[in-house]
Amino acid sequence: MSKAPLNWIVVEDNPDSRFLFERFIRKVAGQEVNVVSLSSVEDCRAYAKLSDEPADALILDLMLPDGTGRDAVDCLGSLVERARIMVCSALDPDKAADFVPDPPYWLLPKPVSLDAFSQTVEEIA
Amino acid sequence: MPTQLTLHKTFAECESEELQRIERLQGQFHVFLSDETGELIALSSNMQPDRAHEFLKAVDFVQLKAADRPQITRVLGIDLFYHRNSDGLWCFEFDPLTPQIKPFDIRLDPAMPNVVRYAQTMCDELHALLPYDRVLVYRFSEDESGEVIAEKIDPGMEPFIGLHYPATDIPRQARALYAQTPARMVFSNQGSDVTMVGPKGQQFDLTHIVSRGVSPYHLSYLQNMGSLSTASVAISVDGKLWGLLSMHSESEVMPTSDLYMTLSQLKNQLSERLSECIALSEQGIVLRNQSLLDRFQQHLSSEFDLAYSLLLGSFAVHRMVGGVGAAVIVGDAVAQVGETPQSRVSRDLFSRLQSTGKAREFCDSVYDEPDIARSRLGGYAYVELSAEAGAGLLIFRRQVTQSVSWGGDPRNLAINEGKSPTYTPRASFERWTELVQGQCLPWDKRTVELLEAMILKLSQRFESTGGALGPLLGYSLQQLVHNRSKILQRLNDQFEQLREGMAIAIQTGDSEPRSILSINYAASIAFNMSAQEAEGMGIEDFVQTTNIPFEALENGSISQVSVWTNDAGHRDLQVEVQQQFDFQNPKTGESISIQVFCLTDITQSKRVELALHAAYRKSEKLAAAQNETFAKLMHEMRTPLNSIIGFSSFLSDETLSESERYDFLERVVRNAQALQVLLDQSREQAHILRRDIEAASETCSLGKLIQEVSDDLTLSANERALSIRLELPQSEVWVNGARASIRQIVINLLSNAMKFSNPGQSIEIHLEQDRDFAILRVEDSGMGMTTQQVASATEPFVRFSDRPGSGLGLSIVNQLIQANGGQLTIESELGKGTRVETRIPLAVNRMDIQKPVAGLLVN
Repeated sequence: MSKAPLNWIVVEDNPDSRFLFERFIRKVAGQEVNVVSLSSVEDCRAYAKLSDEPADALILDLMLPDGTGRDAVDCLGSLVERARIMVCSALDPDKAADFVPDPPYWLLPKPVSLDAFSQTVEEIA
Repeated sequence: MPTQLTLHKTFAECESEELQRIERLQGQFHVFLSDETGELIALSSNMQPDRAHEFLKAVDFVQLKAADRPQITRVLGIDLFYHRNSDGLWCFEFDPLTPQIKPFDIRLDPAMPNVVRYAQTMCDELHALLPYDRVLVYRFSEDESGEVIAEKIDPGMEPFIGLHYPATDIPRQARALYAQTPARMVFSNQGSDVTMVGPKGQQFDLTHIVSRGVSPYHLSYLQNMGSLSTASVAISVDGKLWGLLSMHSESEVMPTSDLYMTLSQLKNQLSERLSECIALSEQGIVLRNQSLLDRFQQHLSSEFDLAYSLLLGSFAVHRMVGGVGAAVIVGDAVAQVGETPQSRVSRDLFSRLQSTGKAREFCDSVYDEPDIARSRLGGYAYVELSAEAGAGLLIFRRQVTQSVSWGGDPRNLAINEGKSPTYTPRASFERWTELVQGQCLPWDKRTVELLEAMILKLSQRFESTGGALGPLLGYSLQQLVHNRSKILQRLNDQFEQLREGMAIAIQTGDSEPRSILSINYAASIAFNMSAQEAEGMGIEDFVQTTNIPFEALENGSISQVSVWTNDAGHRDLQVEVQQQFDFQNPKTGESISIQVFCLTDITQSKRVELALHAAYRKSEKLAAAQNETFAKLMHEMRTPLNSIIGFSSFLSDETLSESERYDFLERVVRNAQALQVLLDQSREQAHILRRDIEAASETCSLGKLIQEVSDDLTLSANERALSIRLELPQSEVWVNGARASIRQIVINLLSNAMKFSNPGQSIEIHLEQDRDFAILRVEDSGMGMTTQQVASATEPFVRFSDRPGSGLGLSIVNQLIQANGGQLTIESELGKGTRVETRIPLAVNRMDIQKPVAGLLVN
């Protein structure tokens, strides 16, 4: 397997899903990776002000309580400029088009299994 | 207490609804009231007092006009509507979305002598300019019922043109309000009402507030009609309410002050134009009458036989005024032509009328004259010709079986016809046709004047020969009997009239202007014009009168037109153009052509076609809504499924610690339970419609039910350190609705309050009743919602927090409440809590509903 990304950001409003993605990352990419979890567009905005650590990968939910996945990417700005983006959404792929960031991104429809997640991480590595 | 408008049980209640001191306003505008000194007296609950104070400091009261209708002043960069109400208070309001008012400039076309045609042109133009999908003109009749005389709709909508609506649809005081206000806008029938906040117990005159709240009666009307937003402008003629320009939209039209100003400016223009149209039309009728009288007089000057002129000639008086038969009585002698009752009946009628001492009588219904009604006649006109000789003329009109199309059955005025009927203007807008018999077309003013004038001319002509009219007529009648050829000629004329359907013959030619050769009886009745009057009429005048573009139709073509007819109102006609005769002589240059236009009534088939189209469109919308709900459900199911599948995939991982494994299992179970709740509630939602049907025949005790639900949830509340406080009335409160539905409402409201409360807080449940409703309030002091969140709180699958739930609870409550004829109001403040008030109709004995139906009902 190629080297997995080191710095991750997870943007997901459902607490169980957020925790699950953290565990998936640690399982697939190793315990030493850095994972920052954010639950809303507002969180993203606040984090972008505080941090200057760019992310290598971003797991992005599309429907957030205060906006869309695209809004979240806009708020994170330069922090995710070079990040590979995994869109993990419960939306139908047809409907997701309005909320996704500009390509490239990898679409991983919910429910996401560990195998599917692992395979996608290999692709982006 | 300020008046709280609710749906009513009788129409009388609708007529006595409070219109001035209303309590509710449409929340899209901000409103505040001040006294003369600029002190804030009251403001709408959607506005901050600081903002109102800021405005009041900046208002230059000296510059304000003490007008009782909304004016505009610019303050702090915002255009405020203001007026002075009957309490002497200044009323200010503004539309926060449109700070500067720029009304559209609408210039109506110049008036034309055909009111219906003008109204249609206006509907077409306003439909293109304004954001409404249905624009119609509604004309009031003398009995206060009304009829849609012109309409423009978006493709695929069901037309209302030609439909009648009973007087009860627009209660009397609502008509008074329409007449007073410049324009009336309903921003949304879903309502987002706000209240006025002011000194306790004080009520204010809010009659002319632009954003005044909407009567539940009117809301019910709009909801039944499928109209979400509306605007109406009253049309007055001679200071009297003549009709309404009414605009509707199936989707929400964003309220703007621009639109209000546009409509209010339109009001005067509209009334002026239509008054001009009516005046021009009346002027046209006077001219037509005069022209006809001139020709009648000309005809008389060459006629020496009085009885023939009166009864059989081509200008026979009864034919000029829409009669089908006439009786002339001189002493004991009776002569009759055309369709009349038996001679004995005519003589008796004449004697009776003569004994009243009246010289004229016009009757358009013969319900109490069975001998006349038996002859399929529907009315008569009586003219005394000579009191001395005992001579008089009776003109009979045929009974008209009128097919009157109503927008819904006007007798069906109640919804929830179970134990708690509620008065509604319209439970259904589906076409309902009433057949009216036993009467003739009314004797209108124009006809009466024409008849009077013709009789006068007849008297002048024959009395000038030296004899008195009565004896002269008697003699003439006897002579007529001996002159059979004239009667035969009349018989031929009658054969001509036997044709069904409308036919119009037009003479065309290169050298001569196009003119009418002849019209048959059906066309004569439809366009309120005798064949003699039509004969020789220029094509342009005829087009103006009939609203059929004869000039544009070519030989052999078949086209459809929508017209207004005198006997049946709006009709859709198929017009077929046939060439009857074409003569050309190149040598002399003579040419003549005759076209016959055959008009077939296709109103019913056209309506069926349009109704089917509209039904198809509705079903498409319904399917789209179901697809949307299904897509949302799929989305909501995937979120818990994500955790179930995700955490399950770890369970076989041997590196997990026991506590981690236990934690993961707990997450799987929790999400599986969430999925179960989601599926249960989705099923519940799908069953709501079925429950609605059950609801009509069940009642339940709301107090007992609340107590039961509260007991069931006490344990769960205790676990979360929440207390539930009940305030229930001593007596039973019986409501209308299926027990399961009402129980679901209480469970969902209480569960929601518990879910969004924090440990240590309490939940208040309060139940009371007014005259019509049980009022249940559930109040918590938990996390609360923003105004935007409140607006979408009843949409399915909408959630505003991480706390578990399907997002269906309030959506289900709302649908159940609506299905039971109730109302739901949510007030909330972020961080401070939420108060949900539901009003559920009380179960009462069925009350009799009056059945005001115009005309005589045959079936």
